Amino acid sequence: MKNIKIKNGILNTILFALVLTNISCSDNTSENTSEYGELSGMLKGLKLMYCQ
Amino acid sequence: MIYAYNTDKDVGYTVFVVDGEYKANHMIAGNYDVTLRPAVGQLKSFSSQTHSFYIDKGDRAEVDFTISDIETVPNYVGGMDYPDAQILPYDEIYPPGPGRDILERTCHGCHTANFYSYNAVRSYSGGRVPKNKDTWAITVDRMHKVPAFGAQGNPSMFDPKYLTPEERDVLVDYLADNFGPEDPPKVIQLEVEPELDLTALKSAMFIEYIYHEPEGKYPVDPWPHQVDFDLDGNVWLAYTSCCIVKFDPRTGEQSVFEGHGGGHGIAVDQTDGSVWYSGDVVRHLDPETGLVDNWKSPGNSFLGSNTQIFDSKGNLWLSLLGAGALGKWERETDTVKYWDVPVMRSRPYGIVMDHNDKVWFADYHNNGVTRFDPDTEKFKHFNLIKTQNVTAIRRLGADSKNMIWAGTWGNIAFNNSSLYKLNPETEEVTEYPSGIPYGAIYNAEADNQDNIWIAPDNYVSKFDQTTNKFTHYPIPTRSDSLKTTITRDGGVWFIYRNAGKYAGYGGSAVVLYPDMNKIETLAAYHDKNSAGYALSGYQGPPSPKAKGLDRPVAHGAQNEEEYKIFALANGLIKKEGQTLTEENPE
Repeated sequence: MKNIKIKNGILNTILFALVLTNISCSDNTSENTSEYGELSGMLKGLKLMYCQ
Repeated sequence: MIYAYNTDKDVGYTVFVVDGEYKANHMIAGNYDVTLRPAVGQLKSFSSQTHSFYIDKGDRAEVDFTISDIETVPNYVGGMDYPDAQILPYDEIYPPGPGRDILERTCHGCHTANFYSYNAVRSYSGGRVPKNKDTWAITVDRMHKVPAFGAQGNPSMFDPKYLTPEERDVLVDYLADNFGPEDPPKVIQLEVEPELDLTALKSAMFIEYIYHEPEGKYPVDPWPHQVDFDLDGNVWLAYTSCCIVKFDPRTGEQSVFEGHGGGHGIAVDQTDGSVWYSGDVVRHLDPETGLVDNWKSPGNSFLGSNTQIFDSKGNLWLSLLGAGALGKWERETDTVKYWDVPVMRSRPYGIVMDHNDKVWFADYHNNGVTRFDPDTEKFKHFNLIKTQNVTAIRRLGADSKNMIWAGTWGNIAFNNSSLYKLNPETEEVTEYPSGIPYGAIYNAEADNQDNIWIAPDNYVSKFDQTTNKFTHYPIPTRSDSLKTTITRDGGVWFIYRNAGKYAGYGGSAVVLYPDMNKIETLAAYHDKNSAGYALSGYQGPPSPKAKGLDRPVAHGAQNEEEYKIFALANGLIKKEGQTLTEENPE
């Protein structure tokens, strides 16, 4: 098992504060006939930093 | 992580952001709060924003986020929140030397690494009373000189062979010098974490079902412990010191059964839908009437019923940790009887059937597991951990080939969390280090592909027997995850125990879908070949209905005479009728 070493006690995934930028909800048309809903989206500006 | 919480149903969805994208499905219609969450331990790293909106059946909602304003924070180990603590490297909290060596091989077999340094009192687990040298001495002696649980005839908590009188003094000095009453609360810095498989995380999804008990109703902080499934796809939660909760995972509907405790282990009888659960006594609930039978030992002595499992004949086997015994509810006679376990410090914890209808249970304080043959009534102990130190093993599992699996919850420095495979035929033991620091593996369970799922702190992890590799799934909140229960469709159910109190989750039943795109139903069903569901082969009549009565457990152990020989040989009694320990013989 290869582990990721963390320097200076910082978690390997650096995360940022957020600003919500876009929200939309669309009714189902033809493909999603589920009795449930779905949620998806993008995260812009995300950076993952892996310390070596 | 993206966290979407259905505020109408108290159902939360968590998915991972991978390559800047995320997706969740099977969302129950309702009002949602959608938030981008940081990883465990990073909750203070930014001020997240939440947006609320309604998702209806068939809706496809889209929410994009943009990130800015980075601020990272140091992180610490363990599945428990430790507010207002200094975060320091292990070597600074535990200075190296003979005292640490002794502590790691004794105390750390059962008590977490943060337990000693976080000397703050609180109402839930993880804190402790400040101690000076005298009180540390009392504590150390209670662990290795006094009968466990205060019950005469029990061996001490850990084997005194691990602590000579000279070492005892060194240990007490070390505890007093490093963990005195004036020391500020400290916790261990997280320095290494396991590598994550982003491809696996991209398709993974957690769904959590939450029950909130009325605030202040229960004098003891309740803890969730385990779930089981009924034949209708519902999930039943043992919510210790509170209640039994039933969730319908398809709708999020929940119902609660109060007034008779909450259990630790839980087993649903699929023949009639009745529910067995454990605690100070053994309980049997009829959900149709709400009536509960309470099975009690002679004189109401403490059974310490811990977990239970059905065999293929419809009988229920019970680990009785407090009594150091193995119990059996026999369907045909509607009676409970028990055997004293002739294994020092066995203290039966988790229990499972193999596919030959043999009973296996974890030896909580004796480095291994024990098998009981119902036909011969013989016990056989198998040692798993070969090093000379105290360990704690909580739950165990059996795969389709009858290999027995268990992990170390506590081990040297509380930081050697490994998964062990036992071949009962050859007695060969194979160790697989989990790669999770301070992992505290609680459980090991096989799915129907013979992957072994473990439940360490802050993760649920899959071990692939074909590649000998782990895949780690960070759970949505800092917590231990305890007992898994796996569906026929590959849903891995578990709970948030510690986060139930400190993070406000209350009674949680959580499921990890390793691939959300393969979900066919949110209902939870056992696999008919699961070692946790031997009852699938039972064709006989249902159990007698619970009537709301106190029921007597048969007086005396079934192997009473044999056990006396064992107890005499091991110094637990000096002669018949006495209950003195070997450490305190007169």
